[in-house]
Amino acid sequence: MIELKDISKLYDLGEVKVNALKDVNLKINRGEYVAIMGPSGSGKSTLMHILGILDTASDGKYFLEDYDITALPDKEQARIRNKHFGFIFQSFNLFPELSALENVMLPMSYAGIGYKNRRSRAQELLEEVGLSHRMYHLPTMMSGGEQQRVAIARSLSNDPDLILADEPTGNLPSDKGEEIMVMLEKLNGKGVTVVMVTHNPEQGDRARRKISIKDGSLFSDELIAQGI
Amino acid sequence: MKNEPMLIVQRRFTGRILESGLLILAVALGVGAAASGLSLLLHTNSYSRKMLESPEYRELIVSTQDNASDMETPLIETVKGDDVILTYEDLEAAELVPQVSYAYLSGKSRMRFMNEQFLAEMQQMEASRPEAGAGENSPEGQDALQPPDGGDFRENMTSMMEEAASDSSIIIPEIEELYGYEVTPQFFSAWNLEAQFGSLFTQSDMNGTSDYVVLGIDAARMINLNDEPLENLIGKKILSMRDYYIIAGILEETGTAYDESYFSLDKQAGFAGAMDRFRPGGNKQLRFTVADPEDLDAAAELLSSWFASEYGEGQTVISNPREEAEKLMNRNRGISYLILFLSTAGLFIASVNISNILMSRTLRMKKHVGILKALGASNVSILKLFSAEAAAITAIGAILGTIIAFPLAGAMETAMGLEKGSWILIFAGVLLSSILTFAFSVIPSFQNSGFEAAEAMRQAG
Repeated sequence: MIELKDISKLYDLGEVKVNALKDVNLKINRGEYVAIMGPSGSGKSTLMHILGILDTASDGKYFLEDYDITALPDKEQARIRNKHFGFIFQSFNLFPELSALENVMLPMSYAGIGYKNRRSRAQELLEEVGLSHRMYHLPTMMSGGEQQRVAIARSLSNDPDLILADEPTGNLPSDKGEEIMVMLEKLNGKGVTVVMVTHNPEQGDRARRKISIKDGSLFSDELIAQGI
Repeated sequence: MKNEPMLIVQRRFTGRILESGLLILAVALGVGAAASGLSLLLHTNSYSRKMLESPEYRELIVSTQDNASDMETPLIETVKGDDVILTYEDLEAAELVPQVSYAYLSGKSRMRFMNEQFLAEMQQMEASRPEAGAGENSPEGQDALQPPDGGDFRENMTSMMEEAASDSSIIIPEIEELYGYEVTPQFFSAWNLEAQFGSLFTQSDMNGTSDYVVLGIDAARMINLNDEPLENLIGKKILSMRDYYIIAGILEETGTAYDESYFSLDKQAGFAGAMDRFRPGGNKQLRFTVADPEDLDAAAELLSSWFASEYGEGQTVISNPREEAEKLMNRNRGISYLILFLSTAGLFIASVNISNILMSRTLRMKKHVGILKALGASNVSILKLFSAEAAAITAIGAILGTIIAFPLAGAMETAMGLEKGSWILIFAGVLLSSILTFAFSVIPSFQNSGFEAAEAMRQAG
């Protein structure tokens, strides 16, 4: 599904240059559940951003379904993010001005889906994550776990092929974190490819494939037999 | 609003209502001031051009010192002598000045009508007049209405009225009076006035014995009691205090005060000044019109020579109304430019401040930009989103600015003695200043729409 070839990312901070990623080669197949692990500053979030076309690599090639999308125009990249990828962030990144329902509807407006269809789809998704009673609440009126469930619903709004989760449980108590993990596992069970960045070894062990990254380079890449 | 990204902007806008309101107020004041300044300048220029197109500003006026002192026009020459009497015949000077197209006399006049109302007033005055010393120390205005021979005069008037009433060719206007001008024939050519009905005066009318009158179109309507077709008034007589006037013609509509005026022949002009010497105010101001205003100076020089040779050096005064008008217009134009400069500077400062505040607002939304991009927003859609906010602020400010601009422009026009300007000029000013404000207010949108999503989310924390 995704193939990164010799991807590097260099941050130019004036006198200091930081090599966040160094010649990373990585292939992720459809339906996989991948955990990217590594200590802080290892480059795992940068890798995640490159995978999600949220950032541009300084060097290397990015193939999506065998198409080279490294140098696609901004509009095309935006369309790919909208249609094919779903994002879940550690700090939820919901819009505080919008209700839970409107937050879930938002990506669908960029996909050109009409208001009524957006609304009914968002209602379905919020029901699926158990928040039908919180649809009209603003994020500030919701707990962290609830906000992350809204974020998951939002990430699924355009039926993505790939979910990119950056420390999805990082800001949650363990019981709520467990709920989120179960949701991700269920999604993967339905055939959605999941790539999760985490520094939690237990969560990493629950994935089917665990990639370790250190100092911007892939350190290990192993398949785990005991995934769901 | 059924677009969620737009909802974010809308709710942030209303959520910071004080800040948003101040931004709108700044736009309104800037746009209002600049629009009224721009409108004033455009209006001043068009008004000046239009004003100078008037035949009045292609004229040279020759007069003696006494007459010249009554004129609010600059004097090319000043004189000391007061023995000179200028007459109709002095218009002959035009024949030796090739630049002059027309030469004429024109003096303000008033036609008082004889009608039932006038007779009633006269009767009332007679009744209230004291027996002894009547009229000796009366005020001038009352004297003008009091015939010297009292009742006999009224009886004559009454019999004239009765005679006129029985004659369908005589009009007895119901109005009290008409204002107009005593002119010589070339007046109409100089002012490009054409007759819609009947004819204008000719040179031969100057030597005739009949009193002819030409009416402005509204003046004709005012005396047309029976609402008959205006052409039917031609040839009819009007009964005035002085005599009967025969209606020779009715002018085409001019859109000026001439529409409500009458024009009679300056009959005294025909007596070659002999009578003028003894008539108060009889000394004439001679008017010479040139086709091209550029020729005014050359014509003035030739006229000056002609009158010097005729009456002696320095005995006459030549004035050029265009010079004074141009001075006034240049002053008005200068003031308008100054006002435009100051108001545009105000708009510029307001726009820069608005741009800065919007920059701060959009920077506060940097994380939003990152998230929106992750969810599928392109640079263009982010640009549109922020531009919509800038457009809303500009549009509301422009509407308020228009409301401010109308009275402001009106006040400035009044202060500068201009006629009321067109609303189109105000709208043009609002449009131009709004475009400038909008251009400044979208700068932050351009600057903040190009961030990489990751960078936007990372830097915003």
